Amino acid sequence: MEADSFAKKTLFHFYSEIRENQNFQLYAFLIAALLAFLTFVLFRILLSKAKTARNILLVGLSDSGKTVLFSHIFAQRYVETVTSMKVNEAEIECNKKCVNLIDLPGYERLRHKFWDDFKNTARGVIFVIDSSLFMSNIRDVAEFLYDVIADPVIHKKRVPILIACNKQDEPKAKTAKVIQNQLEKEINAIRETKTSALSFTDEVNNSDRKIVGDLNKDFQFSDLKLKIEFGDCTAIDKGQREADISCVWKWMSKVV
Amino acid sequence: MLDFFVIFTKSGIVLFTTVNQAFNGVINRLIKHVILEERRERFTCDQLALEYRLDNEWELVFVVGYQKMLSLSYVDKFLDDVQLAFRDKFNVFDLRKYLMMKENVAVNRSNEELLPSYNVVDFFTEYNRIYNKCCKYQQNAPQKEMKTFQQSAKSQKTVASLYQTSQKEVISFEKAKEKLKKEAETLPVVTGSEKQEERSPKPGMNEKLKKLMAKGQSSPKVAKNKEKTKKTKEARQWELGGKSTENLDFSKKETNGETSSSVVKNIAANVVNGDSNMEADVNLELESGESEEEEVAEEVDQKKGTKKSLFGSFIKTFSYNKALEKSDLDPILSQLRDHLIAKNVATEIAVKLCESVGTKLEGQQVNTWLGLKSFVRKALEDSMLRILSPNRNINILREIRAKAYPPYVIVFCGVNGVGKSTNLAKISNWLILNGLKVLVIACDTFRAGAIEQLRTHVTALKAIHEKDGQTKIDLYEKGYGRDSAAIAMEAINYARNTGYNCCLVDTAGRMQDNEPLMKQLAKLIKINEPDLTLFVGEALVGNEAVDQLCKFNTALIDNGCKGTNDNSSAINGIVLTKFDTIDDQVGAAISMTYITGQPIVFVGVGQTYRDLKQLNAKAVVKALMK
Repeated sequence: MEADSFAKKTLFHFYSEIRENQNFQLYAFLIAALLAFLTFVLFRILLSKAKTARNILLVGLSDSGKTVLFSHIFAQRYVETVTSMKVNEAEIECNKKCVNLIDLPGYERLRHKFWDDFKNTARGVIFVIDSSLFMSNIRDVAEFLYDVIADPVIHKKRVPILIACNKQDEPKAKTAKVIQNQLEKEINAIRETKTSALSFTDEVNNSDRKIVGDLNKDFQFSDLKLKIEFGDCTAIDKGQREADISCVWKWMSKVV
Repeated sequence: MLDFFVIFTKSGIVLFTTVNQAFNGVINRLIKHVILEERRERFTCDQLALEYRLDNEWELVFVVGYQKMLSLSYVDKFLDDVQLAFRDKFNVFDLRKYLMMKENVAVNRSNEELLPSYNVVDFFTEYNRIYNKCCKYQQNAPQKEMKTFQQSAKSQKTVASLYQTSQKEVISFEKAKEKLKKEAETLPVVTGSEKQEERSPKPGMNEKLKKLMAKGQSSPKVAKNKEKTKKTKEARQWELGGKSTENLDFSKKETNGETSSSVVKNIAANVVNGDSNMEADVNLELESGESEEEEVAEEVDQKKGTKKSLFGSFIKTFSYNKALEKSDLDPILSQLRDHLIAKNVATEIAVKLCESVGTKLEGQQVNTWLGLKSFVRKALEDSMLRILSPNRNINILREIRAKAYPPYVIVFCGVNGVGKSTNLAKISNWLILNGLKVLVIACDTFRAGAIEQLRTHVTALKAIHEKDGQTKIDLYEKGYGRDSAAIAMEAINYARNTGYNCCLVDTAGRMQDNEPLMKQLAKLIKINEPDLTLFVGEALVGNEAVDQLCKFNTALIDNGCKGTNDNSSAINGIVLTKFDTIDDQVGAAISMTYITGQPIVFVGVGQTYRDLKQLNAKAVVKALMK
C-alpha cells in the first residue's frame, strides 16, 4: 500500500512539475508575443507619424490637367500626358519645408479607391477643374467635389482645399467666380438627392450619411467650416502660352 | 509602317513618342476600356489598331499604333526588343530624375526636328535601330507566292473529268486508288509510328520501334505498304457495312494499339530524361495512345512541380524582394480562379480576370515576407473593385431633375422572370418618394396578365402615395397584341404634354436567342431613344450571364441602337435582382459588369417596395474573396 501511495505521490510531483514547466513555457511565449506586438505597434506609430499630413493631394476629374500641373509644380516643365493609372508622387520644397505632392488618378473607376487610400494623409487638397469644359461636365465635377468636402476625414481634420480652375488659357474658360456660383447651385441640388438616395447593400441604417452645410439654407462655400479657396491657373506651358500657377504656390505656402 | 510608338508611365506621363500629333484620345480609350477593364484582346479604334506591353517593374507602358488593315507580324517582337533596349539604356529608372533633367534632352532634340518637344527621355536612336531591324525582318520573311496555272490543281484535270457519269466516277475512283498506291510506295509514308521514327533522334528508340514493328509484322517495308493500302480502303468503309472482314479482325488493331502505347511509354521516358522538346514535336495520330500520353506527361509535370516547389518555397521564404514570374503566379491564380468560380462568377470571366491580373503582376517586385499569395489576392481585389466601380456618375435623381425636356425615359429589358415589373414598381416607389411624377408604360403586349400585374402595382402605389389627391403615378396601356414601340412613343408624348418627370417602360421578357423579339426590342429603343436602358438580371445567374448580356447587347447594336457617347454598349446600366437570395455567392455582379463595362444602378433585395438598394462595390469584393 505504502509503495503504491509513494508511487502516486511521485507521479503527482512529476505531473505538477511538468505542468509548471508548461506554464513557464506558456508565459515565455506570451511575453515574447507581447513584445513582438509592442514593437509592431511602435513601428506602426513611427511609420504613420512620418507619413501623416505631409501630403498635398491633387484631385479632380479625368483630363482636367492634374498631371500637367504636377509636373509644372515639381519640375517647371510641360509633359504630354495620358490617363493616369497610378499616382505620381514627389517631394517639393515650399517655404523651406518639404511636402509631398501626390497626383491621384481622376478616372471614375480609380478615383474613389485612391481617394480612400490617401485621404487620411492629406495636409491639403487641390481640386483641379477644367474651366473650359466646366459647363458640360458640371454635374460630375460637383458630385466629386461634394464627395470630397463631405468626407468625414476631411471634415474632422479641417483640411484646407484649393479649387484650382485650370486651363484659363482656353477661349471658353470660365473664371473662378462664375465657377464658384455654378458649383454652389449644383451642390445645392445634389445635396437634396443625397438625402434621399438609396441605401447601400450592406448598410443597416443610413443615419451616417454625409450632408454638408445647413439644409434649410442654400448651399454656400462660405458656410462651411472648411477653408475653401478658389483660384485661376494655367498649368500648360507650351508654345506661346505661359503657365500661371501663382495661386497654387501662394496657397501652398499658406498651408505648409 | 507603324503609325506611332509611345512610352508612358502608368502614372500618365508620356516619356517618349515618335509623333507630334494628338494621340492622347486613342491611348486614353485604350487605357480606359482595355487596360483598366482587365480585357486582353487587341484594341481597334477608327482606323488604328493598338498593341501594348506592360513593364510592371518600372510601371511603364509601351504602345504601338498601326493601320488596322495591316497585319504586322513583327509587332510582338518589336515590343519585346524595345522593352529590352529601354531597360538596357536606363539601368535604374527614376522618373523624377528625368523630369528634372530637361536641359539635356532639349539639346539632343534640336538635332532631330521630327521629334516632339516634350519627350522626357532620349530614346530615339535605339528606337530607330530596333524599328529598322524589325522592318527588315518583315521584308526578309518568305512571302507566299501565287501559284501559276500549271501548278494549280485545275491544270491537272482533264476535260473529261468534268463530266459527271456514274461509270466514270467509278473508274476515276479506281484510278485515284492506283495513284495513291503508287504514291504510298514512292513518298515517305506518314503514319503515326513512322513519323516518330523519322523525327526521333535517339537511336535507341529507333531500335525499339523496329523491334516492335518486327513483332507485329514481318518487316517495316511491308508494314508501310500494308498500312497505306488499308488507309485508302478505310476511307470508303462504313462502320456497319459488313462487306469486308477487316472490320471484324480485331487482332491486328490490337497489336497496333499495343505498339502505339509502348511508343508512348518510350516518349514519356524520354521526357523524364529531360528531353522535353520531344513532347511538343511528336504528334501522335493514334487516338488510343493519346490519352495515355497525356496522363504520363501530367505525371511528369507533377513530379517536376513538387521538386521545384519544395526547393522554391525554401528560397521564397528567405528571399527579400524578387521579380514575379509566370511560374510563381500560375498556381495561385488558378486557385483564385477556382475560388471565383465557386462564388458563381462565370467561368469565362474568371479565367479572363485571372489572366489579366497575371499579366499585370508579371515582373513586379514583391516583398516576399508579406506572402506572395496575399499579394496576388490584393491585386485581384483591386481589379475587381475597379470593374465594379461605375465608370460614370450615376445619380439618377439628379439626371431626371436636370433633364431639359422631360420626361426622362428608362427602359427595362431582360429575360423572362427576372423581376422586371417588380423592380420597376420598386423604382417608381422610390422616385415618387422623391417628389417626381412617374408614368408607367406597359409595353409587354405579349404575355397574358402582364398589364394586370402592372396595374396592381400602380393601384397599390397610388394607395400609398396619393392620399392628398394629387396624381403621382399612372399607368399607360393600350392592351395586348399591339406594337410596343408605337405604344411607348405615344406614351412618352403623352407624358411630355401632361408634365410627367419620368417614364418607366416595361418590356416583355425575352430569351436572348429569340430573334424577332430582340428585333422588336431594338426597334423600341431605337425609336424612343431612352435616357437609360437598364438590363434586369438576377443574381442567381451563373455562366448564363455571359450569353444573356452579350446577345442582348449585340442584338441591340446590330439593330441600330447606339450607346450614349462613346461607350460601345447599348445597355447602359444593370439592375441586379434577387440579391437577397444568394448569400455571399455574388459572382453575377462581377460577370455582368465585366461584360458590359456598365455600372449596376439598382439592386433588388426583397419583396416589398422599399427593398431597393445601391451596390456597395467594396462589400461585394469582400464577399467574393471570403
